[in-house]
Amino acid sequence: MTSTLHIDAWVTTDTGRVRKHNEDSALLDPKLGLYVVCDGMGGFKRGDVASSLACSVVLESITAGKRTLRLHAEQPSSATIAAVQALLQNAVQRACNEIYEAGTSIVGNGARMGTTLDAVLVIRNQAFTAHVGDGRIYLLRSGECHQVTEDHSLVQEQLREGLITPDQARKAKNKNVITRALGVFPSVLVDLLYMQLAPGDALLLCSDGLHGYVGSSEMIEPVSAGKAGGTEALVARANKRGGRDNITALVVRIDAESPHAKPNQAAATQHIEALRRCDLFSFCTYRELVQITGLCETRNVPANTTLFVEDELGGECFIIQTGAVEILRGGVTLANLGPAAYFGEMSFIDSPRRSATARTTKASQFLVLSRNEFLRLVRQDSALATKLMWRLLHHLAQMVRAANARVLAGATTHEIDSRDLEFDP
Amino acid sequence: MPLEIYSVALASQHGHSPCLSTLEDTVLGFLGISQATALPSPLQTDLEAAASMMVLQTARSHISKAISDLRGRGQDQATQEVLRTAVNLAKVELSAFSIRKRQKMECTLDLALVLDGMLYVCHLGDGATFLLRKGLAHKLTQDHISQAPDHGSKRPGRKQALGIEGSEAEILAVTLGRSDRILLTSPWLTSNIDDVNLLQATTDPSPDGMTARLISIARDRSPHSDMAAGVILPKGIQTSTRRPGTGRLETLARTPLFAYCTERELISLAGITRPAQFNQGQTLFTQGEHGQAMYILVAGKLKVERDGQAIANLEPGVNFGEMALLDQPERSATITATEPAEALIITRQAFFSLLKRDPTLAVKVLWNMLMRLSSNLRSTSEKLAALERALK
Repeated sequence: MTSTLHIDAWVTTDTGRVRKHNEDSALLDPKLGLYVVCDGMGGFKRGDVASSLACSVVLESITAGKRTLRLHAEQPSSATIAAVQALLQNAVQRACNEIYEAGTSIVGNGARMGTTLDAVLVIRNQAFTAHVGDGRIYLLRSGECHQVTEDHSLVQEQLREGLITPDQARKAKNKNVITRALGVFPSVLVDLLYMQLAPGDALLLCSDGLHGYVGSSEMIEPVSAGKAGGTEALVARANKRGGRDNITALVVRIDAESPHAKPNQAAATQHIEALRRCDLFSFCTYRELVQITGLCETRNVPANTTLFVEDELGGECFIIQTGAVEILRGGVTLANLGPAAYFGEMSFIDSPRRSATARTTKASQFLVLSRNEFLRLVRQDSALATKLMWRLLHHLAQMVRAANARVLAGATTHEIDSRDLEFDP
Repeated sequence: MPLEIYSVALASQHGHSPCLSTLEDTVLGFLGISQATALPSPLQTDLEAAASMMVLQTARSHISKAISDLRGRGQDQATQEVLRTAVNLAKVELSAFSIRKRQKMECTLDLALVLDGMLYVCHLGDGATFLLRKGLAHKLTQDHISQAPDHGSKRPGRKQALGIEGSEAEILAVTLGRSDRILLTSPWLTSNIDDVNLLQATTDPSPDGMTARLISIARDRSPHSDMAAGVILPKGIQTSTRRPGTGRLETLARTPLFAYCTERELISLAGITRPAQFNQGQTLFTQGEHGQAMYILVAGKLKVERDGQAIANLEPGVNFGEMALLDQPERSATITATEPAEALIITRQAFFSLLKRDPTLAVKVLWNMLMRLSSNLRSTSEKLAALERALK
């Protein structure tokens, strides 16, 4: 699988029109596939030190871990994905610790310096991202712009907890208060994401000096088609609208007509689109869909194949990307499912014993999520888990009601008593 | 009810006023701690001392006026509303203060009110309130603090406090047991003590000894911080004022839906429940109507009927009607009290906003709901399959 994509990258950074110094730092290393944007804070001689230290420590750590990158490039597996993520996480953690130590020695206890960090590591047709603070990473794909990071800001957290409305969030005065940064404490919680890239995709890494002025819909045109990734045009636009903060834009663009591009590379897009249509994920953000896609395995199955049999043990949930599936129980067809439907989710919840048989009626393609991956997700990301479980509950409730209705309908003609039904007020 | 309150606030340097205040009112059963921060540059200690004291006095004076009607009537919800209003008044007073002094201020707030065998807790910011029960210290509050300081400033990133837009106080009601004690700690004290320190200090029988020990431990770690602590010793709490085992926390702890929840989570849940009494023969809800709430039976017996036929009896400790939290389905049965009954009610709206605030709790509760629904579906499907085989 020699699917190396052709990649171009550009960066523009600017002091803005109000501040005296540029405390943002950026790093571009096409050979390693490493791209970083940091927005330092703490004032002159502190913020800029913090942000440039973050870039250099991350570069150093990733360079030292080249072997891990090569192993993943040669034969990617869930183990190598985990290894690359651990490498990236450690690199950010080390940067955090070094800034913390430097901050203590330069300015003493109490006054701190720190920095946000957004990093992308591109290996073949895959990207690994790391994110801390209120910088952002956008994925531009098929004429749409998706934010794949969540701001670690006070306003965003209040919004998520339902304390303020989206309208209040837009008008909030304390927008620049961030809730995570490198260098403030000896360690920091890092948001990691793994994603498949498709030809024509672009990634935009930027500091809040840019996304505070330029909306995501305005980024599509310059980044996808503009000269030199459109970074200069974006920075100029933010300056024109005020430029009260330092502005940095870094674009990584994957050539649409890559000579080595294979048709299946568009698969990355199809997987996410399949999840997007699926009811189970209807509350998920694009970032969360990317995250889930990274946990799923794709499986192609010919027509008339049995996927699992009633009463056997199993722990996989199938999401139909293309094709058709019949669900049977005791030889009776319970349901016929098509694209965007899912089944096998019951094995996630209680007994892993299958309550029905599933077989394909057409050649089908599935995204398969295992129980272990699902449970790991539930432990790690309770906000996302809540969304999935909420949809699952609705789904199960509908199935229970439908089944009850069928039993009741049968009961009038047969000697099944409605008293036997489960009590579910 | 008689009680004793001890509190202490200490400045880190002699000759300075501490940037925080404590206020106790033994007659009212009230203790409060507030720490003020002047922004953007703190350490204007005179202003900070004045602001924090003003916040506490505003809250106390409202509670004192509003509570007299409620005393002795077990009005949990009404009391929580009084606290909420007290916080809002303090918010207003603080913003007036900031304008008057031309100085932006931010205040944390921890209030404890003991009334009719109940403890009401009100919390904003990074101070804390602990319930000391049976040798354990249960932290009743969450620290409203983030990992990073403000962009470009050196104060800790406080997520919620008086003076921060969008802040809303956590308010909890806890049924007190015999020999429970309540401990309030100021922000710097809270962040410089750990569970072990707490356990050691709380073994000290004298409240003064306990607060002194805590402060001296925290002082060692952070010598330049102002700190305060306070203890309430409620007296004459009789478990028999409420029937044994019928406290909300005990009931919730036994409810299957809330299995795996920690003490703190149970207390948050208790905060969104509303107690209700039903007479013999009274109907809780009727088959076919749209549900808005779930119920937890605390005492008494209930009868479940579907299409006029009795299908089950419910005993204390069960939860039912939880599907109404999910959507608004038609109730599939009618439920009537066959003897005087007492239940806790959780409405869909209250449940939903708690889930949003606390995703870890959400995961536990939703998981329990999924388990129950899934086993229900499995058994219904089995019946359906049996029926369909029989029909063939």
